[in-house]
Amino acid sequence: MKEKLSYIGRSLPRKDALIKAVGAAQYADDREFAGLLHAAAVRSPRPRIKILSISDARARRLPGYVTLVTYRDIKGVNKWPVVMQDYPFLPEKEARFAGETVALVVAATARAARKAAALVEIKYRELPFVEDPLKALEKDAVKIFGDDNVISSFVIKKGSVDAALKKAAYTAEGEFSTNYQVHAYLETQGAIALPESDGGMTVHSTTQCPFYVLDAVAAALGIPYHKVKILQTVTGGGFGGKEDVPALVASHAALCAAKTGKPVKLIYGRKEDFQSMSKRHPGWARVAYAADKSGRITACRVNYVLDGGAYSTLSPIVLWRGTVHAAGPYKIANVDIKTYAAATNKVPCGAFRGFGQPQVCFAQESLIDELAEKVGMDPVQFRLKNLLEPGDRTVTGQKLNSSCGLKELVQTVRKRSGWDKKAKPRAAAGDVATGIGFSATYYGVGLGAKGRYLDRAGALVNIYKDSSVGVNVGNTEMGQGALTVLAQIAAETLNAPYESVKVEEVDSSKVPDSGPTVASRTTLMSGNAIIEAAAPLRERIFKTAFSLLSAAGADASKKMVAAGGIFSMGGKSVDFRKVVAECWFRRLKMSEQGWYAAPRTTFRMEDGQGDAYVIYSYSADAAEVEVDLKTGVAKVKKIWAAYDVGRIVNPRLAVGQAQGGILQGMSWALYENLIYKNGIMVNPNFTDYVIATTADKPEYDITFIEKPYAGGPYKAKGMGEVPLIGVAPAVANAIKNACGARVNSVPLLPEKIWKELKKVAAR
Amino acid sequence: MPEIIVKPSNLKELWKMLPGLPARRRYLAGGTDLVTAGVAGVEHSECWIDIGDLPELGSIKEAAGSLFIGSGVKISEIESSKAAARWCPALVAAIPHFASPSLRNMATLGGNAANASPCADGACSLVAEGASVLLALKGKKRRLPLVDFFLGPKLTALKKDELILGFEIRKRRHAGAYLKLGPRAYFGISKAAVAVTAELSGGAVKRVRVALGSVAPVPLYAARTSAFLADKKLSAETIAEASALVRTEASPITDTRSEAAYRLDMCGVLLERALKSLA
Amino acid sequence: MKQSTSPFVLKCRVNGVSMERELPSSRSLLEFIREDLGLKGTKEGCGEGECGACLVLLDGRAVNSCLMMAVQVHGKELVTIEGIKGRDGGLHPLQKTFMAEGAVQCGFCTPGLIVASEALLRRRPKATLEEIKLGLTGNLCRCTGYEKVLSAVGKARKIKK
Repeated sequence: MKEKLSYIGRSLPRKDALIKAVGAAQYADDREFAGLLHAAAVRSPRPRIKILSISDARARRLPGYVTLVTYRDIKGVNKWPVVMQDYPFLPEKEARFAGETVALVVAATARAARKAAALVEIKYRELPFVEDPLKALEKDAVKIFGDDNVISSFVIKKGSVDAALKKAAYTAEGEFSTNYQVHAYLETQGAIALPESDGGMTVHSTTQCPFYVLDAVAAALGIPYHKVKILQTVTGGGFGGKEDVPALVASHAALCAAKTGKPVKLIYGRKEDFQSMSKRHPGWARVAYAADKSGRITACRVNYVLDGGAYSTLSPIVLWRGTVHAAGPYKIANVDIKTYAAATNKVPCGAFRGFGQPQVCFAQESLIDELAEKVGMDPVQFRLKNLLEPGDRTVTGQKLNSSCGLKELVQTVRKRSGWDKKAKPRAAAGDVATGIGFSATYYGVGLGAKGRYLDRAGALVNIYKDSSVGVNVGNTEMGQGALTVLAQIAAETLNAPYESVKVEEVDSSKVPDSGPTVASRTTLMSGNAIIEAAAPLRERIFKTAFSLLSAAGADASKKMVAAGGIFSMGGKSVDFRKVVAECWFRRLKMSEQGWYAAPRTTFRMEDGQGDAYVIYSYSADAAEVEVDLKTGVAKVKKIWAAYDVGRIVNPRLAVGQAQGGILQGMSWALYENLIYKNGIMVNPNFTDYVIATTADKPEYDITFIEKPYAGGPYKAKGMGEVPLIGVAPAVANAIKNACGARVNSVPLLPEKIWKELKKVAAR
Repeated sequence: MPEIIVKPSNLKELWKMLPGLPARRRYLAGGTDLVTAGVAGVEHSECWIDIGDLPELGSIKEAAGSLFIGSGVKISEIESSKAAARWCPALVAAIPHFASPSLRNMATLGGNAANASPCADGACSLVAEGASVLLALKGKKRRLPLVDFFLGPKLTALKKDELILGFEIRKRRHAGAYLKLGPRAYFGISKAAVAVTAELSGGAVKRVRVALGSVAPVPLYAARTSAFLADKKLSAETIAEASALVRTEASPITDTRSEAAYRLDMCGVLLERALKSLA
Repeated sequence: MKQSTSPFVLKCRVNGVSMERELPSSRSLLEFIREDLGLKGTKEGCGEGECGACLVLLDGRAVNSCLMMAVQVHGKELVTIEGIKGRDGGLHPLQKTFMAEGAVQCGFCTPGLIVASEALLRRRPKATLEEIKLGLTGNLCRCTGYEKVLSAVGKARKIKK
């Protein structure tokens, strides 16, 4: 039974829509300070260099030039504190990818700083470099990371895959690859650092993870945390791209500010953002599945390699998530998964919506279709036969609880898309063939076992005398709607009018380290922390309301009802404002902190068995695609998707997340093609790295099937990443269905489809 | 970006001004290519001459035998010109594929030609329209067939300080088409593009001009294919032959945007479709 | 106007107000708007005309301010997002529908999209949804998947300013 709720489940207006619609929202570059100087990065021109000297002799002649900042100016430790700590804030002897910041210049204007950066001369010697991640893992490769170029590696082992493959009635095997994806958040990276009189530093940063910024700035400056304050600015998109790297950008700004004693702004241009900020890892996977006569999947083997780039950054945890989900959401008794993140002299890759899953999901869900074809079953029927259900165990041996609606999702998408009629190959109309493709996925919400030490969050709830409510959390708004959803949760818990609740952008001095705003964890973690903080407040407010109503002569034998900011009982009512005024009058504590830590997980790294995540979200996608048989151009006409992300807090925002995630997935699947040549990124711009526009947008059909999660705030799970993951394989499967062309690499460019079509024609 | 930008109010003033300007100077029209180059740090002029509002370059004029499109006319103005729709249908068909709506409000046809990119949608379709380009340098004017204007990527027949006044298109009743394959549906640089104009009479074509974009060092006039199609009925066989022939005229390269073999094949596919759309 | 040396005097109207400013001629239009006028609603997303975040109205037409020099707007009428208002001086219908439809997410592309939509609807008040779709191809949005943007512009057609 659903509880009666006032705000949860309603499409309440976005808290930040107005300031954004009138252009008043202050993003990082929009903030101005007296005496502000501007910094620009000096970047390595080559894939791997030994730095001999850095000279600003020519830059010094430029009007407005202030100073050069190199590693010598680092008073703290020259190690950026992120996971493995191999990335220096500024390189001392060796720069490891083209575009790496080797120094910074400070000048009076942004333009002068950019000019000065171009005039700084780096003397260097080129070193042999590694470009291809698979070659990086070969024995005779040039070693750039440890003694084997392996940043990180994981296994999942269960049963005997060899034996199962031998016994199998059907097997399917294939090699798949996916290219980079650039976040293409519209606001580039940036930060402003303001030196404080006590030697401290205040940093305004566009970021998903203010506490990563805090760690980094304190480390770079060598000052205690309590002298550093991170203020998150309105953030113009993240998608994972503002998880780790804003800490580097902010530290650079802070180093410049510390050296000059002046506020310093560092805003990235689009090209340098492309060249140096994190990306979705290119992925390579060899996958094999086995099935018995009846079409039951009996085994899965996966070899999965991610191109980590020059520094490890988030590769270990991205790889781990990919590892856990590599076999797909199926019941499989025998599993052998081996995964590697390889080091190359290219841009370090990190978090991007889906976090290591979309790459391997593309491989594995494409291959599921191939296996179904061999078995002779419809791909949806084949999935239904094998999909996980409540009570089943995942490949890591984790038993799923009741919050698993995967099969319902598949049935829903099947019905809504008209799958049964459309799945049989259709005749082409002229040069255009139409096809439909399917995928099913699951997604472990939150950081899981590998990130368990970060999986906690705080909240501060203040109820002011005028009854307005201020909420501080440690997770960020980056466009997804966190400020709105968290305000709904606070208003619901306190029975405060929604309009009176304001959740603020993160101020690192107001709440404890709440981990990153990633892994679709914000609603769950910060939501629970708010509930935790609000619970004692709620008790005081409700008690006070009851006594006010009683004093006013309400019939206390009737139950008090609290809804929409009004308390009523026995014909009398009182509003939130009056109750809060009374609480203050009674000198009750109207401010509380909350803290939520995710439950423990039992995953063992040795064999990959145990509970990997506390809870999973699920998706099913069907894509209808038109393929031009002469040009190979594929156009996605419509995507049907269904999600189980627990209770939906704000349906309009949830649909927005779904549509945005689908288009991002489709755009990656079809268009986005970042190219390296000889260790240099050749298309670091939106001219030649294109993303979908309005004209490419498909129709969307979105359904939510809410399987409540008892541990979630008002039974919500996590949503942000789920919609992207299954799109690429659904599109690839639809292309195959339309014209027989199986393309094994993303992006599914017309050139590749055209080549496959020639092979199909030759058959 | 240059430290000096001058803005003459008419041509006379421009010619008078020239001798006093720094030697490294360039014309600034819509700015969509030049400012991009300036931002990218690959444009190093000391002085830009803003010709964007020169009255002599800013209009579309219909004369007895020809249509004149000033080099400063914005692409979006061509889009809404009835005369252009009538006398240069291939050019007008190219416009939706020309950059984005807002860039079309800035970019000029003169700039599109002067930039001399082999993938310029405007230039390619103008070649199919058989346009001439009118050039001026101080008092001296000259006229060139547009095909002779393009010498290579980023290379034109323009002399130092010479200015494109505009383009002249002979008035003749004809149909036109422009088909393009880019990296996405709209707003992208073409992998291959085909522009066709054809004077139709009855079921046959009299004269045909086929131009190709992005498959040669310049916007290419496909002379042999055009000649082959003259005075033919647009039957399925003729179209197939033409589309085979056009594949032999292009010389595309493999680069970050596409592959040579694919581009070559697309010349044929797009021509086939363009001709079918006219037939 | 004839200027042979930097700086120059720029005269134009911005959001309905006439102004005259002495500027170095190397000033880009976007710098002029953001730095000299302090109008921060116009955003730089790419600096090369590919994303549309910097769109402003120039004589009623949308242009990419990152690819124009300030000198090019001499004698012209400029409107930025700060000048996009309803008849009553309050919210413009597009701003209302963008908010109501959920077309605003991270918001960085929003000013540019509203400017582009305003330019489009001024020219074609009854634009079809297909025309709207093609009219906004120059504005990248990475958050919304465009659906709610298109429905917001569609609904704004029916609202009087």
